[in-house]
Amino acid sequence: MATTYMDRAAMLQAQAGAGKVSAGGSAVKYHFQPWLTLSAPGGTDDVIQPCRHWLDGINESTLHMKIEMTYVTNATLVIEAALSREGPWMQCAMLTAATYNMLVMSSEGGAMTFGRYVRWRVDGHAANPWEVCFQLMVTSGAMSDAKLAPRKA
Amino acid sequence: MGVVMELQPWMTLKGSNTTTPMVIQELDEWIDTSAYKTGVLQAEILKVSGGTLYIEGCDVQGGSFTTHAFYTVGLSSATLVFLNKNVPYGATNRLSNLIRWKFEATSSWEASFRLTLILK
Repeated sequence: MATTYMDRAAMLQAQAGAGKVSAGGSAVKYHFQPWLTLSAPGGTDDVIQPCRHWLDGINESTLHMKIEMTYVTNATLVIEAALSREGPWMQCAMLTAATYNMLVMSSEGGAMTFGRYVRWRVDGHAANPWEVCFQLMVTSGAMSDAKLAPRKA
Repeated sequence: MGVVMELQPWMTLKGSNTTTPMVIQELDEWIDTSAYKTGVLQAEILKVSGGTLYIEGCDVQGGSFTTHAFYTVGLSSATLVFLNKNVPYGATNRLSNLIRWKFEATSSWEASFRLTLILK
């Protein structure tokens, strides 16, 4: 009997449109950054999310980002947004301690304004070893509309 | 038709029990095995310290979880956990409809692992 292999990246891309949250209407949950641990001995002060994984919120007015950071030392996790890929990048959140919280970003005004693109950046202390462990989930639209379910095997 | 799925691709987690005493796999990454009769979980555990990594399952969301396997230290080689629907309810090796992982910390902790699930 043939055995099929379902690649998780392919599944997530199919689910989320390769980084694009769906057009308005039904809410979509998107694993913006699966659990990631970054560690550096110092001398590397900035790590930016690869641009192909930036979130494109062109069709969204509100994004809810769940930030789960279990470990951080000598580094800052920055969530930032921009109107274009070239920037300038506006800082929506700067996190220097382990945390579990929700960041609400809106393109309809307010403190946490996002234009189109959202990305993360880790700002490590160049002079010291640094380490960070985090994951980011994004839900577009009303949280209560999100239909979450386990993956079907 | 059988399938092979990664319950969790390679991942390293690190934290402190005071700030993050427990990490549970996201709901939409659990695997729904309801269409299958048997499963084999392959656990590759490079490191576990400061807590316990649980592989657990339940039959419906919100139901009580049964622990299928748990790890408190890293393993030198991959281990297999055999699961089957045709054993009494609540038994450790009964294949639950929903499978997930959970980490419970007791001190500063770290875990590096991959979990693969074969279903037939």
